[in-house]
Amino acid sequence: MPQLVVRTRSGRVESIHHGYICVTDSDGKIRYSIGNPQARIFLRSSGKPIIANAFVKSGAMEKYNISLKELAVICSSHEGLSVHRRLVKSILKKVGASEKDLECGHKYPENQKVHDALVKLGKRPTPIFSNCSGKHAGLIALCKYYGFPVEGYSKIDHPVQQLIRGTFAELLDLSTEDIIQGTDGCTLPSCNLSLYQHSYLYALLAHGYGHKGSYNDSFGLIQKAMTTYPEIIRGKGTLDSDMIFFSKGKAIGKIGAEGIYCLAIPEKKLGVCIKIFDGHPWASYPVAVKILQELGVIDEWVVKKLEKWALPAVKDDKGNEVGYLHPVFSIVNNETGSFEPGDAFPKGGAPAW
Amino acid sequence: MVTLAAVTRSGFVESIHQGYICVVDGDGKVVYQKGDIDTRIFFRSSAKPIQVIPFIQSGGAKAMNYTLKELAIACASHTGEAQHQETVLKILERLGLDADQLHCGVMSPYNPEENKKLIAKNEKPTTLHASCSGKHTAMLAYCKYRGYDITDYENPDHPLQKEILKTLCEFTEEPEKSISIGVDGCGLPIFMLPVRKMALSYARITKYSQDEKNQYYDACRTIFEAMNAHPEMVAGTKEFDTELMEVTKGKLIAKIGAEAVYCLGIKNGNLGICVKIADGGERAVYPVVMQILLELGVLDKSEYSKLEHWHKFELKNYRDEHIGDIIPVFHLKEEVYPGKKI
Repeated sequence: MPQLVVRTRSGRVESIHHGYICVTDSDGKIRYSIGNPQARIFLRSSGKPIIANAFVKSGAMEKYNISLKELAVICSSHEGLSVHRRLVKSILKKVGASEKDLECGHKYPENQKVHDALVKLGKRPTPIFSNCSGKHAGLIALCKYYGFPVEGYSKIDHPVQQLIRGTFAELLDLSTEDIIQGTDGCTLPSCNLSLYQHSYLYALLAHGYGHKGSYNDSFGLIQKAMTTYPEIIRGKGTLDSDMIFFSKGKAIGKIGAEGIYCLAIPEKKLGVCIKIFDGHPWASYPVAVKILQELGVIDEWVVKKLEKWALPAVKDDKGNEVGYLHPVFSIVNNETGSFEPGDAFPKGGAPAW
Repeated sequence: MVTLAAVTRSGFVESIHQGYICVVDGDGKVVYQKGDIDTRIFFRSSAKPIQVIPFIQSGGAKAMNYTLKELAIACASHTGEAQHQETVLKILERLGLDADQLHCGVMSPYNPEENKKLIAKNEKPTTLHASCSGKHTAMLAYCKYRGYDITDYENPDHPLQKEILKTLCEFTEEPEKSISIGVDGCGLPIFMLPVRKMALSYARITKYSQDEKNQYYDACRTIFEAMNAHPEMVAGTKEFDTELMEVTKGKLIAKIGAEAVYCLGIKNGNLGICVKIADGGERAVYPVVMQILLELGVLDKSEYSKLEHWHKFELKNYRDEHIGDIIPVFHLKEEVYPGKKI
């Protein structure tokens, strides 16, 4: 299994993260890969910008007068800030639904301040605080648009979920039966596809307007929403938002649970899918930044701005840096690490890296 | 390294965890292994029962009136609950020290309820909440007993740290020069050793605890007694270490370490076990350890039924619906012989 990242402590390898990467262009050609591009994974939250196609293409956006910023929150795994919650509420209001209709469960928001404020109130978070509430609002809007019952929209056999399944099938030129769905953390179905297929979908997002496919306009608009409102996609000070902001839309990154990270690179019409096998929540960050560097998408200034994700620090309880998460692969040269725990690995890397 | 656990979602493998396992007996004979057991890893908090040995062996623990409960927290990565804070505070008061003299740094308590309480009261965590505060307190107590300087006890050159290293070398038969020293999360020196040697140290503690003639008999027996008399001190409410020792009532000692290290000593057969999940994913440790205990026949039916939830660890979505599990995907009992490809 290919090694992508090592975690060091006091100049030694302490833990190792393995994973797969696939980089595909919008013609469906694999440009680079590490590991098996046909390995199947759940797309988890990285699927949100893809799912949003069903919404944009339906005409629901125009009917309910949904703004570009509201589209951004539909594609988001947001931090639960008031700006995010206001957008979700606004969508629900426009389509004649309410917070009570959200079926995303009770999850504390990622943002520490919002989390602490909720704890101080002594209340469990309502579904609107869930990082998935934007996507859920988009699905409710679709139910209203098509006259589907709103209740049960998160269930796998609900017509809106079959519509999403159909959208994936159409995008990948497959039959609906080929799209296997599982259950995501927010209760929605999540598609089980190959890394190759995931990276191709992100290549379509990267290409956007002008692609020959029938979803070119919806991908174009989704790309525009994500690059116009990076702070809505997750939150300022997170990799997803800061990557889009500092690269001025040259790199669009979207995290998914269990070690998934996807990238769309518009100027190169490339899509990237990363899966860290062990599901580590942030070992994918240095991998994503390294790929962008290697492909020449971001310059040193942007890398500097993304420094805390390019080489995440391991700290002790006094805040001293005692180690780092080092990427140990090259996507362009198809090289991966072959370290064992205990190997010497000074900051800045062992000789080859 | 070998695939040890799988994380499932809706009937598919979503993530996998690889790692190393070594089971040795008190004579150092390898009973079972998975992966290259000479791989060197940091001992992390699993080293705590070893780190406390000089304190007990020297007579320091007795002289400082340490109770079993207080020795249990010296071996702990506790969850920062009120019971833990009180135990540590009581020792500090007896020693005439205050919490600021602990050099473990400050961390939010692992126990989610305790953490919420702090946030709700708008209070900052203190050194008392830090999971290693019991170990640091024992180190201060030892320094007081010996008359050592207490202002830099975390320095690798401090006599206390030198004595701990010497003890470690004795228990592992590893020469001092081959042990790399790193910095642990709590700022103390931490040792890098082969997985096999970490297992050996636990086998030795276990063996010595049952061998009256051994010079470490008293110290090792005391560690076993302390951790088993007060498993709630060793970790905390609903934690694996605590539940495992509560349920098995004296059969074993068990201690987690950061980055998915786990060590156990099993009385029956004087076995020492070390598990390392290579990616540091702690969630995989529990099903893996349970699988080992099951295959070694350590747990009886009633014990297993009380611990089963750690063997097949249920994953839920945010509406509390069961969507998958973390499960072990290996069998320990393959024959091991020199030259066998693992």
